Amino acid sequence: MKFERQERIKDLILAAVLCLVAIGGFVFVNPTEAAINDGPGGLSFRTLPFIYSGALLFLVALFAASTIYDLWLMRAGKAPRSLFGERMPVEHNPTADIRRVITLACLIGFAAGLKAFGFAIATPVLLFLMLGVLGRSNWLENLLLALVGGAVLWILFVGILKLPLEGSFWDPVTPLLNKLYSLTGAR
Amino acid sequence: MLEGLLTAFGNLAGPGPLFLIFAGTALGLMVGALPGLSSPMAIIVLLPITYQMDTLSAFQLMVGIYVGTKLGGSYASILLRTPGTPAAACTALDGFPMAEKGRAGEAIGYAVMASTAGGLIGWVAAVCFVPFIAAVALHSEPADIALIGIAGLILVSAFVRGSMVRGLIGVLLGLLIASVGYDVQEGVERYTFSNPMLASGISFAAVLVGLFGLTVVLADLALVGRRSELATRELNAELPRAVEFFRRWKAWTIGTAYGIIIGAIPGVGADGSTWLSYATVRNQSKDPPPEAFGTGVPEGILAPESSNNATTGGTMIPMLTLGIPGDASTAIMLGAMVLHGLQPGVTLMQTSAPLVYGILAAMFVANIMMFLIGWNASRVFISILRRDRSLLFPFIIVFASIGAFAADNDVFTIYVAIACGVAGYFLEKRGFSVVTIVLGAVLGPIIEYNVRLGLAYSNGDWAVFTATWPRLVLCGVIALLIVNEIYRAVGRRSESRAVSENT
Repeated sequence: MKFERQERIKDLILAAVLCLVAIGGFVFVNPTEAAINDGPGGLSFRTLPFIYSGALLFLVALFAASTIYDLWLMRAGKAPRSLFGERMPVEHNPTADIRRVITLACLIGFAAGLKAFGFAIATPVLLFLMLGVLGRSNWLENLLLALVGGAVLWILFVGILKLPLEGSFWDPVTPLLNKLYSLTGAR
Repeated sequence: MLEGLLTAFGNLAGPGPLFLIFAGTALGLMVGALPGLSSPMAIIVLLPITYQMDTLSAFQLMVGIYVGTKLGGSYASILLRTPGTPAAACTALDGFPMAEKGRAGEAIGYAVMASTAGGLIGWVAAVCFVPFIAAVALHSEPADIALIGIAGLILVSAFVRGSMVRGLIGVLLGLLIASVGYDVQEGVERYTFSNPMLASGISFAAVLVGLFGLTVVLADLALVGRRSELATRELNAELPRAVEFFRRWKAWTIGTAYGIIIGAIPGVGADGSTWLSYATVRNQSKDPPPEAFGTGVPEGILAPESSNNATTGGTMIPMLTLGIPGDASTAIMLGAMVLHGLQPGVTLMQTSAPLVYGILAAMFVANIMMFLIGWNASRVFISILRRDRSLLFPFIIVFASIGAFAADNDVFTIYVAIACGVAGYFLEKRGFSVVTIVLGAVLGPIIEYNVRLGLAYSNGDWAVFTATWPRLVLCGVIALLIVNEIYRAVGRRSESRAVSENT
């Protein structure tokens, strides 16, 4: 019962976030405050987003009301009714949660590093960190995998697919790899 | 129709297309074999590569993956009792007991045969129905197209797991995502926060990568580090003799019929069809008797596996004719069409008939390749089951990130993908389906454009949406689905009240 109550409270938090999204749908639709006359049928650029936001607000209110009703029932010692469906049972795994947070931090770091230092540096660093985070304890093997994997991915994305993945701040590796790659005659 | 299909088969004759389908099918088998990974993830991983290809080549690869994952999912079900894909869960009921009895090769052989039969018959259904429905849909006017889009959204919301309220919340989030950027008809910015990166809208690739790639990675991090013990070391597929297979024709024909019909219902996909076909085959079976199911009978593999693969044909029917996906993979394919500059929907057959026939031809070849690879190289894919995912995930993250980056050649799209991934993870955890969000994002611009065009044609008269019989039927379907959901919610309320009163 305690677990069920916690799950419902999490549902309520999600409903609050979705409610904010719906309100944002009304508030932020027109950042330049452009004034436009209504088109045929009274439709303008903001009509449908307003309908979407209004419908979202209504449904989220229904979802929240059903969750509050369940919480009230549980408080009275009765079974919850889950009027709008059940969630999949979720296994609580603190190790996985820590991994998720670190993975997200690595991803954000990768995106920032990609812009500053380029793919050639950011990718092996990400691979090395992620292999460690995911529990592979042989650091030397991880380093080798990160370097070889990074090189193969560089050949695929920069060499073959020609994506502009050079760093803008400090990237001494990409010019070197470009030179090496052109020496092979592939470019 | 036949001419278009024959031309499409003729275009497949070169080594390039055949290699792409082969590579896609093999990758699909591999990804399908790994529990937790499925075809949407594999297609997302290949997104940066498909940008460089012409549209048909990209779809040949995607169709191969889509078909391959269906069979790949059964390997883990049979050998680990852990389904590789959700749709393969049912196969474990009889597949795993067969493996425990030392008949794993035979079980895999039945899965290969049933998957191929289901896939090919599903393909025949798609070939028969796609041109027919597309020809009817071609007469649609903007008001019809808008209503078909809305009906598709409601249908998917009604049939995804959970409830229609959860499904509709997802759809509305997708519609709001699709509203970001310049309004094409009035040239006014919406939800851009004066950020030039948002002026052309949220990158669709970023949404796909986030919702289908990063969401799955974040969810599956719980599976990392778990090693798998196979039921047996006997790893070669043993195909059943033709007489053994055809003697059990009822099991795989019922499975195939369910797969085609349920696959064609938007949003249901293969997950529901496998269980329904298994239950039907078990309940009407005399030899073996119903109570033998679950102890390791081939019929228990033939029904769900044929059904699972037949859905590939079923899902193609609404996707190619109406622009409504049957499952997550076809939702991504619709997204890929948008990324390649096409407009999915009722006009697809008119504007891109060679692509439609090319996809159908690729699907046939992918089924044949799936049979050949499944028959001869199952050992390779099964050996992957023993591997830990800690090696795979870092590379998936790099592929997914670059898939988002390559859409606009800017890291901003990676941040958008991360935001979508986090949002998708929390929504999935709370019982919402990310498929509904993607569908809202795909169909949103099409619906908005056609609603406004329909109103312009009718001088602003909203009655245009109920002016013809087909439109009234569509409005009736939408109303019926909503009333049904209210009825179900009320029914659930009285049911639980009765339970509470009895206890």
